[in-house]
Amino acid sequence: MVGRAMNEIVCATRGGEGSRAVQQAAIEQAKATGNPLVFLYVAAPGSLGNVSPVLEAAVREELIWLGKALLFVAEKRAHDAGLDVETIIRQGPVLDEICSYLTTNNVSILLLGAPRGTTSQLFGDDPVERFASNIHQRTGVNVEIIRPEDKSK
Amino acid sequence: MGFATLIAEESGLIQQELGIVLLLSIAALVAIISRRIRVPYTVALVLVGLFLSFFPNPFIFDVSSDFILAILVPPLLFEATLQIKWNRLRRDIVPILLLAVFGTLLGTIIVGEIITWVLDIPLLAALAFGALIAATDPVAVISFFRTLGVSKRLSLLVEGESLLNDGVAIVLFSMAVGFAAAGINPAEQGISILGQGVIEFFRVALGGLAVGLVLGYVVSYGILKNVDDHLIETTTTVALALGAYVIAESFHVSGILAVVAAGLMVGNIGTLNTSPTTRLTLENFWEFMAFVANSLVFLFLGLEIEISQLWPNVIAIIVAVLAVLLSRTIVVYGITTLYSRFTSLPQKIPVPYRHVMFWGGLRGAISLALALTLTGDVFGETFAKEMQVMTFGVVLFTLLVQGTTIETLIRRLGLAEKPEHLLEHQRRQAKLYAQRAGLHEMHRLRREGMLFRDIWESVNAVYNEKINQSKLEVRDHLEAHPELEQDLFLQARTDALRAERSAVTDAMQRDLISEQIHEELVHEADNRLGALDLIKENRKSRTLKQQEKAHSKDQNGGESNE
Repeated sequence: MVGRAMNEIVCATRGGEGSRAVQQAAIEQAKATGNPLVFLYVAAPGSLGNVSPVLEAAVREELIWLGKALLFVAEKRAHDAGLDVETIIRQGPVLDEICSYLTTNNVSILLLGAPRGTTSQLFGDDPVERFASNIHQRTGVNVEIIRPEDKSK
Repeated sequence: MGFATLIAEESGLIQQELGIVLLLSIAALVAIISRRIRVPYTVALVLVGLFLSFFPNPFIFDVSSDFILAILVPPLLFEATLQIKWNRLRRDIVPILLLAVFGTLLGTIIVGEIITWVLDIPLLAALAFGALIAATDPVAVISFFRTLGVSKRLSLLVEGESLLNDGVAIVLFSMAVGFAAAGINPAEQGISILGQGVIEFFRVALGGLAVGLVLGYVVSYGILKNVDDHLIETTTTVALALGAYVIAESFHVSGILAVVAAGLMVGNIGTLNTSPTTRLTLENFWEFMAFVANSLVFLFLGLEIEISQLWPNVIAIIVAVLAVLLSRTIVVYGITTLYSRFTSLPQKIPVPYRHVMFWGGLRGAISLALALTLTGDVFGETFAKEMQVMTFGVVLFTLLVQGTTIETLIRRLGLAEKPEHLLEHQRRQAKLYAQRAGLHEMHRLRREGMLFRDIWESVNAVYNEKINQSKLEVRDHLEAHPELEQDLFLQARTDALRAERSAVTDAMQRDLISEQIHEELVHEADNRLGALDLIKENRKSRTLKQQEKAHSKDQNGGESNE
């Protein structure tokens, strides 16, 4: 059981290009600091745009299914590295759900993955950077962006 | 009837049969060669058609307009509609309908006006040409889509437009020919004839669709649902495809749209109620029918045209090609831009898609079939021949120029969604799969006593070493490209859902569950498959948007996607 009182490291993952790198970085930080690690996936049917009402429920369920599968792999990687982790799936707008989790839990840092080639400034103009900046402003939690190329440095 | 007359008639029949046998043999030969040299079948066919135009027509065929429209065209349309699934079509039904109805109408007018203005062809004849040449035929393009792994949405936009614009083009063509035959002069009657034309268009089109839907419903629920015999069911679909045309025409509404509606009904409802054997038989049978009809149309026109007619009409062909390209530009870019302006993000049609929809608008069998129906009776021998030659020229151009460059365009636009890292993943996985199959075979040979222990042990050791190596290679590749992981999950989930859906149908056929439960579960599986398509499309369009953004950044504020 992962203790909630300690400063959690939260790794938000959605299985994109930077997912492996960010999961690896989160595992390494958790091992180095001894802080608990949480893998967070947000199923956001709204991010797909106007989904037909007929498909709404199916889209939500399939996104959750995908989230479970992705988190299972991330959890296995952490276990292989000797870590016990918690996996959490939330539903709703990604930004709101991440912020809501960060503000209701004792979180020290949020790690986000980004595709190759994006810039590294927290306040840069790439969507992931704007996203990270928004989270930081709303929650005060430090946000770190990890890219696949960071791992190879 | 005298004996001599009977012999003479039989001799004519035998000659026609011989002609058909020869044409089918040519078609089969062309298909074999086109596969060997990896050229789309329709491109090879049009070349053979061109080759045939060097020779006078040696066959005695009665290729009447009725034969073309009532016998050859319905199988082409019916087969295409069987493949179109409503749950996939509905997402993009608005742009497809806009392109198929409004676009075809606009394209017909643009081409008709240019042709009549530049070539001095009477307006109704020019509009008939505009209509027949508006029917797109993406067979050659779709084969590239499949090879290159282009998104299903783009494929559906191109196929859906083509399918529905065939019917609209034929209705417009028939109206232009009908007005000309009735001696109507649009220049004199002006706006009144336009209003009459619009009313007539909707009457004929909606009437045809209604006939097709009713007949398709009756066959789907009356026969396909209740009879479990692949021969009877296939025969019924033949009667439906040809009968829908005849019945609709007898009510003076569009037989072609009746065939389209009937095909959609059977493809979406009828086949849900059939056994896997029937579905397979239907697929194979209609694929064969479309192959034969497609081949005959191309070869008939090759026989109808003489090479000596091509050169004197080269200016007319060039004008026709330019008119077709201009109208396609206006129709595709105009409609998709307007549509994208008024819709939310996932529904927008990305700019690279528009380029492919423009350049992929090839012309083929339907245009050729309609051109074959042009006779001297209505427009005069000279104009009829000129329009046939122009049609052949346009089809030749679109297939040889557009059809052979579309692959490069798709790759340049980054729409070949099987990028190198994905192909590399498939390569590594295929190697692993093959090695496992090899090891499995070794086990079998050992079990059956065909391999001595020593040999088996050494072969087994080598295989295991190779399999472990291949596993590492697959893992390393996934490590370098973690985004592939999500694709693998989505594909696995899709395959699993398809298997679930199939198992449910199987359970119903074995009377393990009721039809009501079957329908509920199949509906749920279809919704989930639709949801997965949506998730996959969203992933792809996000990637595409990133590429477009990078591209527009590179061009310093160049065109950006909305």
